[in-house]
Amino acid sequence: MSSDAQRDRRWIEGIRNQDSNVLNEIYKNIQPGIISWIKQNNGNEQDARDVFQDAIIAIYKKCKKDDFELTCKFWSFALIICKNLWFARNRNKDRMTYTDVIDEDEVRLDETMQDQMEAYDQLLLYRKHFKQLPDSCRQILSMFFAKIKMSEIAEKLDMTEAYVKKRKFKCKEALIQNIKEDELYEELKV
Amino acid sequence: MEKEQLYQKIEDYIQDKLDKDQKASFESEMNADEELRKMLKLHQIIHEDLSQDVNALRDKLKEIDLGTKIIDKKETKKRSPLRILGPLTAIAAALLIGIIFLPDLLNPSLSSSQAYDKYYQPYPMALNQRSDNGNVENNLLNEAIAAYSNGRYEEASKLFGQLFDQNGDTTYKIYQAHALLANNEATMAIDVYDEVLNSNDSRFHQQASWYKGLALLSSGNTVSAKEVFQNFSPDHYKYMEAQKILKNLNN
Repeated sequence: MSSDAQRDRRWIEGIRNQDSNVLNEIYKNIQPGIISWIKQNNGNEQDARDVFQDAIIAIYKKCKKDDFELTCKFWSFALIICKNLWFARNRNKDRMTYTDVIDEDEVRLDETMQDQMEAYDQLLLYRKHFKQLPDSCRQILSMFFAKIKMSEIAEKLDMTEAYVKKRKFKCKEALIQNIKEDELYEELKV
Repeated sequence: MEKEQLYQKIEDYIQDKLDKDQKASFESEMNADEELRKMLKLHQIIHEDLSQDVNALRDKLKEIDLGTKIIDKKETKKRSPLRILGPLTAIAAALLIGIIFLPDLLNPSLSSSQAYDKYYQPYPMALNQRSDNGNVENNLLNEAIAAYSNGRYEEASKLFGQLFDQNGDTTYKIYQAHALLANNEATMAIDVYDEVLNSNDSRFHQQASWYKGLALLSSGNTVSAKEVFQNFSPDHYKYMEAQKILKNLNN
């Protein structure tokens, strides 16, 4: 196996384990190229940084779910994910492509990666409305989804457990309702 | 079905808490109901995005991203004078600098204050302004963010201290410490970083340990600073920098 392939494999393993040194290495080696690509495609540096972060999280989710192995160069894989996330962000569905040839490297995103790309606009929609929730709701939902026990949440927030449960439902309902009322919701694919 | 029950069922389905029959019946319900499928997908996205491991990864990536921004800025600053001078003048300047600083280049040791100057950057403000809506805490937070962002660190440290006293969120504590350090109050900053490090909220432990080490350098306490940096594990986000400091720091 070439040293590049070994390094790419180490990077995937590093993402799977959330290894800070490896993540630093990936940022130093890959992020500048992505920033440059997004700037060439009408984005600014902050857009590029956000997309790159979401791409690493998408790769992490993929690694966590499946016994994933790279079949192309890491750079090509990262670039096709970033391209797709960027197109999804700009709602430019016509340009969505899950296979590509990058520097003579054939890249193909499998079904679970494609699902993640297609769910990206839902993710952005949810994040938009989550940010708009009152602080107390964001706090309760964040703790709940981080799997903190209801009794602990109640203790931290100085509330009763029953009240926390009720608030959690109300907050989630508000979040879902706001998303459903957003004009973009109807356009989302199932 | 009542909404509360429906949400509960969706959560149970996502967390694989339904028994075989309940799961089969829910899946057949979903097959016939597009809206329900859409709802499930949305819940799955929320569950995944707010899960503890994804949040932890996101925090790490934000830290790394901030680090790369700071390095980019430093490199741009370093490069710009040479660009203005032009290549030939730049070579001549480099030769002159080389002759003047040759002894230092051969012996890269740094005093604690030189190491501090080399590695310290005020922590960038990563909190967002909130809409106040008459909310006292949001108002106070907005004032604190504005003070910190505009370099009024003394005011910022007091405001973040008040915010922490009000709701106990460690986020405010770490910004209080950063504001103190930026205001050259290293000794007080060290105490506050210690409070963060002793808290159960591990989100800021790496950040607090890095800045505590720098604050110790700033106050001239080289021995303690070295101890702090020596304790960094290889997965610490500032491990490489800490190793460089340890290598080059004077005894």
